[in-house]
Amino acid sequence: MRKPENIRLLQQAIACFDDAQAYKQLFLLFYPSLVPFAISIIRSKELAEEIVSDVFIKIWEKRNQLDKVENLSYYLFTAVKNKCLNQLHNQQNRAGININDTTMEFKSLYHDPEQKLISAEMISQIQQAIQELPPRCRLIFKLVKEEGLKYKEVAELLQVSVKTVENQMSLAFKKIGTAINFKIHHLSHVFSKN
Amino acid sequence: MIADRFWELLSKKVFAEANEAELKEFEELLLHRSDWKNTSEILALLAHQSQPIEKNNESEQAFEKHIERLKKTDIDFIGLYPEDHQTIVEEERSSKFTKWALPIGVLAIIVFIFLIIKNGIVRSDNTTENQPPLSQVTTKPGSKTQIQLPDGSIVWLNANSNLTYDKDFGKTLREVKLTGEAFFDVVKDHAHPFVIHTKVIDVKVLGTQFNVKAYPNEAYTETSLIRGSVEVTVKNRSNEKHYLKPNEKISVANNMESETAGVETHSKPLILTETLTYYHADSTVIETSWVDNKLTFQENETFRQVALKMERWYGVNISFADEEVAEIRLYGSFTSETINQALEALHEGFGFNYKITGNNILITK
Repeated sequence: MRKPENIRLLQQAIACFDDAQAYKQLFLLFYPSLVPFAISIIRSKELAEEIVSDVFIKIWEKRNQLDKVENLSYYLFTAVKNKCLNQLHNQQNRAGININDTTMEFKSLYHDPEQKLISAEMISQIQQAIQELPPRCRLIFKLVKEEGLKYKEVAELLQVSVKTVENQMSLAFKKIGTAINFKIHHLSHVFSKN
Repeated sequence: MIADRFWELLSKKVFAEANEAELKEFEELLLHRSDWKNTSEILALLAHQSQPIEKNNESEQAFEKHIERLKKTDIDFIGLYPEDHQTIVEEERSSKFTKWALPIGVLAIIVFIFLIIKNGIVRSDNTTENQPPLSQVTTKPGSKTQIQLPDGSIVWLNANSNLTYDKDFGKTLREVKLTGEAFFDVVKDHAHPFVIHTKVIDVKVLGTQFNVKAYPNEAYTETSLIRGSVEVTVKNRSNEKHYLKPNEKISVANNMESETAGVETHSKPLILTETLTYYHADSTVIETSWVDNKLTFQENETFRQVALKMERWYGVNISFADEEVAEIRLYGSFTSETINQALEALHEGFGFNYKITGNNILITK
């Protein structure tokens, strides 16, 4: 998960100092997840990139008020979603949000070498479990874990019930947890042989 | 099915979505299934591991494209700080730069050697005319002064402090160097940011009122903001940046090494942001009360810390014959009182004894 306090600092730097460098950092921080999210709604890479760029142009234009945005992650995802839906509406092509076949990729998991409890091998196991999650489940898991959104925010963003988010999160944890469990048992089995 | 409930509760707990009843239920589940404990811990760790921000070329290119689009609108996009703008310009030119890097590098070395020789001669001639002319203001213990800078900004310099700026002040940046304590009322000028350099931090502002305290013999360098906004860069923390809101104060430890050495010399963390302290009697802001000729200490200051302030304020030396007395906590506020009157008042309030010999004061039990 991104550190919310870092995002807050960037917001303040942009709002108070018109800090172009902070603006760039903010863009780089969110671009890799906002574009796939937009693609999952609008089904066009070109349009998706344009929409994310438009949202960030608005951010710069209204930068003086940026400090007042409580949860920037949620704000950005919502803004991108709304722009995508407007676009679809204009195209007379109202499919609504259908994220079941989302193309959203999950960033590779970070392995902290100092973290002894989790081995690199375990990480790759977990990674695989995440890739095998149903697309909608993966997206919800990503929005909660990577973007730090609350269940309620994810539900509003994706226009589903909080219960659905809860269920999908349970499913994600079950799949990943089972992968880890297998690893633990497998290891202890190997050790007991020696 | 109990397993499904376990996963649901675990995911809720990890992402702080569980209520009290659910947390309790989770703990009870774990009591019966100790084999789940390990899994829970690993998943909790994973969930909170933050991803390091890796350089992503695709995003970098997208940003340049984005800026091109932004510039086509009528929204003004020029970073206020020259160096911010440079970093973007630099990246645009990076390919051209490599072509010229070698010849420029060679030229730079030649110029550098030339300068060494030239300076060597200058030094042997004993002239210093090539050094940039500095303006320097120093205050002695017991005295304060007010300075107006070339841009109109006003600086109150507290006792035993030094403020330096050179002839280039205001050309690109408005830069000053500070040891000791000063209150700044900086004139707004978006094109020329005002930067205060101290030993451990740099403070960058556009136009505001704030106080910087950077005495080398104190544990912390403090920046207190009255209005506007400031950017504080912590130098030996790989230029970590902090932003203050009005009524906030940031304290940065003067000796960062104590963290690694494991010596506990600081009672506070190395970097701490808090709100300003008000003196309960008349709601003066303690951090800046010296500007109004008030010597104020707050309730949680030890006599040892207060003594440092009094030494500077009155230009005296204070020593403690007893360690216990040095640790008692004092509060009070003085304006026109002499050192004798101040000590007498503190003696009555806090019950220690003292002996004045010329400029030296000895505090006893």
